Amino acid sequence: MTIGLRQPASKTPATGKGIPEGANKSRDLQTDALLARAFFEYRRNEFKKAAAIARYLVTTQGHPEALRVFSSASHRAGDEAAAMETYPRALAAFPSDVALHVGYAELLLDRHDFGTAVTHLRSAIELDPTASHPAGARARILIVKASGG
Amino acid sequence: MSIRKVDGVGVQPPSVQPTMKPEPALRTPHGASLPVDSVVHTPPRTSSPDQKTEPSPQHLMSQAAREPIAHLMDHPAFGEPNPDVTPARGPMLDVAEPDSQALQHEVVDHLAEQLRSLPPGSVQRNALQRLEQDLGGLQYLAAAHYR
Repeated sequence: MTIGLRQPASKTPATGKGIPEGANKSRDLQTDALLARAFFEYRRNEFKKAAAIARYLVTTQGHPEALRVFSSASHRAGDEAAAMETYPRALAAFPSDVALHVGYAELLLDRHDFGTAVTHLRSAIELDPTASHPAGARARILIVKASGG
Repeated sequence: MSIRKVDGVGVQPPSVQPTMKPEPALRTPHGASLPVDSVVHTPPRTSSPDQKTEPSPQHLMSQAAREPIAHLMDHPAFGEPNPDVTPARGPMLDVAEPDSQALQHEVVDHLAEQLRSLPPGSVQRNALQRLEQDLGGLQYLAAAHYR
């Protein structure tokens, strides 16, 4: 089962006028390679590295999937300012992403914004009613905490 | 240099078993832990085919060259980093895919060229300089980093 299918509204915009087709292809290849690398760094808990690579893709291309990695990785790396700025943007691109909802809720809980956190936790639970995703299970625990349980 | 390839999958450190460890569900990244009593226990997850092995960087890179990247982000571990995985400093890989190695070096070369040619003060150049600074050099992205 796949939860939170990520279908961004639009693909990365074209580079611009006068760029040879081969250059775009090369750039796409580079983008995919960098995104894969950011993902790999995230998987091995190198969150600063993952965030750095994702930040580059977000800054230069507004890459939606990189934005998703950036928000979560910057949060895990302790860069709360970047996470606060990027989680809402990532959620706008991927509104059905359970992990994003829960990650943002965790950040909000740390900042004592319980009301907004509960909203996102409820969204996560609705998106994952059987708690089959680890983030969905975490949402059920965190909502108890957010509710004062 | 001889390169051995085993089904395109990197060597799996025996300690890396993300689906078999307790979930890091009791603690937010920077927050307080929860009392154990409040935990809603869920049955252990069973392995699915895409959870059996950790993809190697070379494997990911070669996938990226061939396929859309979105499926990589759908991995169940994303968003739930494995707390038991430590940064790989040792001989993580003795398996490599030549095409993906070439790809990584190509990416580094391309970025370095961009850094030289982009106009000072441009968004692209500033972003590249930030990336270089954050990674401690663009060579970090080269395949040799994993060895």
